[in-house]
Amino acid sequence: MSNTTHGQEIRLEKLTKRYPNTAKDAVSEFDLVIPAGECVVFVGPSGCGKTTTMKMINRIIEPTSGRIVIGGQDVTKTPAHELRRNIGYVIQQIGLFPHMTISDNVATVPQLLGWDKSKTRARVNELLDLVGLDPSEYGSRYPKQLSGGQQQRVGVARALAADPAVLLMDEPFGATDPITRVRLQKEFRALQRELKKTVVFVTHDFEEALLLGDRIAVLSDQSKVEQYGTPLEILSAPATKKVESFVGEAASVRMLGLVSLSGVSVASGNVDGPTLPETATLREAMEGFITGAKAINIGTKGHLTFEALQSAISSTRKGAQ
Amino acid sequence: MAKALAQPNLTAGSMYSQSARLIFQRHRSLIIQPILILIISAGLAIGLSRAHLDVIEKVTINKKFIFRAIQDHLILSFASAAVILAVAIPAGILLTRRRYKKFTPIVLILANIGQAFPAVGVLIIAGILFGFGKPIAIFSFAAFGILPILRNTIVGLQEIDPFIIESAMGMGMTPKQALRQIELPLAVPVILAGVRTTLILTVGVATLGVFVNGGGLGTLIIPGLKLNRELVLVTGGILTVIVAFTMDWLARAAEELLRPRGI
Repeated sequence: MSNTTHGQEIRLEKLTKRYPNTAKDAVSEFDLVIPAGECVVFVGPSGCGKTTTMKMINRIIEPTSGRIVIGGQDVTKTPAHELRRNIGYVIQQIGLFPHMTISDNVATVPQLLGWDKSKTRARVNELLDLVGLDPSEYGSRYPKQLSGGQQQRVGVARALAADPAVLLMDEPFGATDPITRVRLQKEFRALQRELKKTVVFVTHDFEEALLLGDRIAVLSDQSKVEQYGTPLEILSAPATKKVESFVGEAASVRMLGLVSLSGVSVASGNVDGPTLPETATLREAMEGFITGAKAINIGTKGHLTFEALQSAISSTRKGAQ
Repeated sequence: MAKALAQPNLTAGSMYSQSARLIFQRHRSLIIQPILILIISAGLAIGLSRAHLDVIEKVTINKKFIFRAIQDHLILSFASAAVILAVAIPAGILLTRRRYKKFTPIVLILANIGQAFPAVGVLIIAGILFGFGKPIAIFSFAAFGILPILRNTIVGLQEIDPFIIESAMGMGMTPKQALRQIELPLAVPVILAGVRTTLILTVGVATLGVFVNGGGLGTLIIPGLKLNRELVLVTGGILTVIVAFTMDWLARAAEELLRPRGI
């Protein structure tokens, strides 16, 4: 992955979708700038138009009006199939082609782009490795011979095959069991930090949005943007009542899950007690104290007392507001 | 693949016999059917060679006449099946495209009517209107047998998970590429089942070809009836069964061969 294409900015201007014979727009004059290389999560209740909005970016749903600009280029009128070959697409239902092997599935877009065989094969193997599937073991299997989690890894590999700048993901991990989901989310986060694609990610799961989003757009009916900001901004200062209700009761606890332990002040020396890495969060440290620890070792740096955690938490809350 | 199938507690020998048994179980009818066909054919041949034929029977029960009848019968069945395939599969594809979807009910009604009309009636009227001979027979049978393939093509394409097609489009396939690379291969099993039904239908209905001077095994059955020669009648009947059985076997072998792996 030495020469990965990084993300490009996506600019959506007054994007509107109205289905025939309906009284109001499904998506109404949607304006948003998605910065290059960031993962933006659209989150909102079902039926709010978040998926419709995302699917207008690669024009699986053709907008009624408005403009889509990717990397400074207006693609509203570009032939749809050409546009889509440069946009990775992952959906909840995965949609692997059941009659093709895993390798052939991943090779779909390179083949459409006319890559030669050896380049395609090398790329397919590279991507299967990247999503943690051994090409020699899984490449010649068929989708139904894989578990749901493995299938969605293939879905992600297929979307990344031609190294697109932009990735659209519609609740990609929503159909997997909770344990697999958390694993896939963490893997995807690590992958995204490496690849720096521009990702538009749709979910109704706020936890998932917090975990994966560089920014979150909280949407309500007709895809109205209630708030657009970093996870910390949204948790600490919900802009509207709707955002507040979506964030829920546990906002402060969730906020602690966003701040790492690297900034807390520690007492020197290690003590008898559990150890957390510096990359762990205030929330994990809190949980350690709740389960009975007297002090927590932070790597080899020193140990954290409950009083030190308390002051770190209060300064985080002040800092966020 | 091999890794996944291999189970450590099985020796190589028992694995072999197990997979051989599996193959037999899966293809049992495909293996038994040709044996049955051969037995029936041999029985018929032996029976005929021992029978004492009168003058009238000798006109039809002879190698030259019988092989000519079989040949004509195959021509009638295959030609009408070919006409049906050439019309029904493209029509079925068109009728599942968004632009033409609205015509599907009307076309299915027409195809239903085609099948509901008595085949003899259609044939005789066509004969009177357009003249006699094989071509008229072929087109009449085609009108009669179009429904199974048309319906199966439509159903086979409609049954594909819409998200598979959405992801094909999302990858950047043009509608034509999605049709050729994704939709048609996935619909193949259902379409082929329709082809088999149609082939058998046309073999049966081709016995009527005799009414418009189209030849075929009807040239044994109808005179056998009219002249009260049961041996001739039964010979024609059994030969029709043999041809139908053979067609069925060929079509099912094709289904096995052409079904895409993985589904």
